[in-house]
Amino acid sequence: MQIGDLSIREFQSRLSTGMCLSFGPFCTRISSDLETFAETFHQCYAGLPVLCDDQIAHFSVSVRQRPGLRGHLRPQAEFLFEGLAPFDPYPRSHAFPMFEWGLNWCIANTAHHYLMLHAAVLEHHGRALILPAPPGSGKSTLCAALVGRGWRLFSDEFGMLRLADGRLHPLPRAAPLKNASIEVIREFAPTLTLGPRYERTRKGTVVHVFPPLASLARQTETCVANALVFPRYVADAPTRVASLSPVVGVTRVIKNSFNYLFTAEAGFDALCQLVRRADCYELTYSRLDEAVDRLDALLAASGGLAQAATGHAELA
Amino acid sequence: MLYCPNDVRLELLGDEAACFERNSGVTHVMDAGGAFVLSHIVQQRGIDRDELLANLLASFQDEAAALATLLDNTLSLLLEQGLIRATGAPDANR
Amino acid sequence: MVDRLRYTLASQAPDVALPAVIADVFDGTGRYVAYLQHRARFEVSQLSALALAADCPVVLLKGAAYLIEGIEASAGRGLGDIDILVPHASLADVERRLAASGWRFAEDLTEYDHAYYRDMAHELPPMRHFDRQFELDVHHGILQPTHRLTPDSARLMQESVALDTQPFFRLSRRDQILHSATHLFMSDELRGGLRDLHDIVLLCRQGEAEETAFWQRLLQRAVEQGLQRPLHYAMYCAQHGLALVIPQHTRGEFTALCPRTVGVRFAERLFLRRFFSRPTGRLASACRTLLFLRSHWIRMPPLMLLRHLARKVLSRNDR
Repeated sequence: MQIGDLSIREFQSRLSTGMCLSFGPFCTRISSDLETFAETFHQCYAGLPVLCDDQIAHFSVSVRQRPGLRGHLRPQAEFLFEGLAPFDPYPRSHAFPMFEWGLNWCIANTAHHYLMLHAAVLEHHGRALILPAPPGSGKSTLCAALVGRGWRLFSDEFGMLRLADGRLHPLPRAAPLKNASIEVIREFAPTLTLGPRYERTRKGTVVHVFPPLASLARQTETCVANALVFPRYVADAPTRVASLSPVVGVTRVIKNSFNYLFTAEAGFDALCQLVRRADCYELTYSRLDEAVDRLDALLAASGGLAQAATGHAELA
Repeated sequence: MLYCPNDVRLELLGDEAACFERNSGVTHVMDAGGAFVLSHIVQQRGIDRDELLANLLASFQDEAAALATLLDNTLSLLLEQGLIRATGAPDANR
Repeated sequence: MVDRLRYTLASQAPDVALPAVIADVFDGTGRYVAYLQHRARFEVSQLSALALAADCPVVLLKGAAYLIEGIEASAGRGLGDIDILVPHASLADVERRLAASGWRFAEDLTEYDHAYYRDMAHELPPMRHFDRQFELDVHHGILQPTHRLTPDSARLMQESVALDTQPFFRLSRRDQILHSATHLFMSDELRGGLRDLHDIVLLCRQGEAEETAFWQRLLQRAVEQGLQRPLHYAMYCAQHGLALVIPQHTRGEFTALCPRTVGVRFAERLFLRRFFSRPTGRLASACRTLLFLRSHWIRMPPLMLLRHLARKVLSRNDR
């Protein structure tokens, strides 16, 4: 059964007592008494499977109204992990972005059996692309554009490379777009489902791209990486791709990783394997449509060091 | 830079290399020259300077002159780090 | 604690098939704890030159000691810093050597804070390596001089034992237990939590296996050092919640360790709740507040406490 099979009322009712869902590989017990939050969640994650109530969960989280006197003046929502609040409350109207941030927090702090990258990950025709980039680099916009063109979303934020099998594991979630990129994507990919608008968040105005049903339906299908592309948005720049040597790939991936240090030698191994299998590039762009086309071509041609031997250096 | 002459995991990637120091948990990357030299050291712990230089030069017969300066600098650095011993110095390992 | 749980399960019920989610959680936590242990080992080895050259024995405390000795109390136990104990007389020398190898005091301390750490406390301000950012705490006692309890550090150093693999010392087994109990119950709002209490259980089992008169000698030392109360609390909680078994013939002496006044019995209930109940709800919240107040109350005389807390509040506002 999926969340979408429940009516909004049924869902709200079950959510208030707590229900078990899986976000990618993570079983999550979630409870909430907030109606607006439940509505947005129901719409965004309609395609998520509902698990049995007695399923053991990786995380137990709660999104609820913060108790206390403030309730009437400026209501707040708090995120609880195992009953304790790991960070400050948000305005109640921002409960949904708070939940997304909170779940990221839970994963980033505990899932060290993955090498976790600050990267978008997408799959197209059975091949996977990793786009590592620091916040504010335009990665989310590029990721949304690719999803709009039919690529399968693994994640816009969390590249999850499982150490045990060296494969990328999907974690399709609501992908936040900020400020100017909201309108850019509305225009570029009108078929994407966008969520409500949140004003004056810590990152400005935020609107989420809801994960497509197809991405959610296939969230257990893993993939190996075929291409590693470091995107760089530069205003008015022509689209350019430069090939990077594997050690540059290694260095830059480490810089964009949440937990490389904690993964020790296993992480080093996984990283070396990654750059052997996946070609590394830097993509400079200003036009979204050209960037998308170029990534399409890159991914189709990529196959790792073995292929590099047959030679393709500068691809202008 | 390598801090201590302990267990080192070396992975050759194309012409270059990445290296993981097990003790300190530090990861390094290095270019072709460094990778080449390090792979010799890892295989022959405690090798002395002149022997290492001779081995490396023998591998670069045609370009020995050009490589000699590069190698000389690298070897001084390795000596400093204690990864190789000065020629004539007693060998602690063998 | 999760990784300690993993270890306990693996050693006591190795054939149990773990559900996939549990295996996952153990995998993630296990790797993180392994990283912390590895890092601590590395830092100890970086400090070994100092330990060799210093003119006094350098004693490793708590987690670092368990780790280097390789005893059961180190299993599944993460640690974020290293604590060492040196004689007060050697402080200046040790401080100098540390500075020479790149250790600095944490930045954001006022002059008042520095004075507090030297005169009123039992340790220097926390130190951090300038390059590797690892934290080191240098102790010259195990409790503040202003504390109600006044165990003798010289006695601790006297009974300390040299470690095999590194040029450091550890406290004797009974002192390790008393130190752990004292630190847990008398100084930090039980911050060490269940993990520290379980350490005590493992240390007791270790001590019991190592020497026949262990329990007797533990009692004697507690009396000698005036640490009956923390030992009582540790034994009480461990027996009630962690199945620690004290041999029948000594049990009476442990029960008689300190008079069970109303205050003591209230504290016992507070501790049991803190260790063994869910952390949420108003009762838990009240419990935490009481523990916070208690921790400051027992650390220093009332007037000094007031001054200390007042000063702290003011300086927070100044920033």
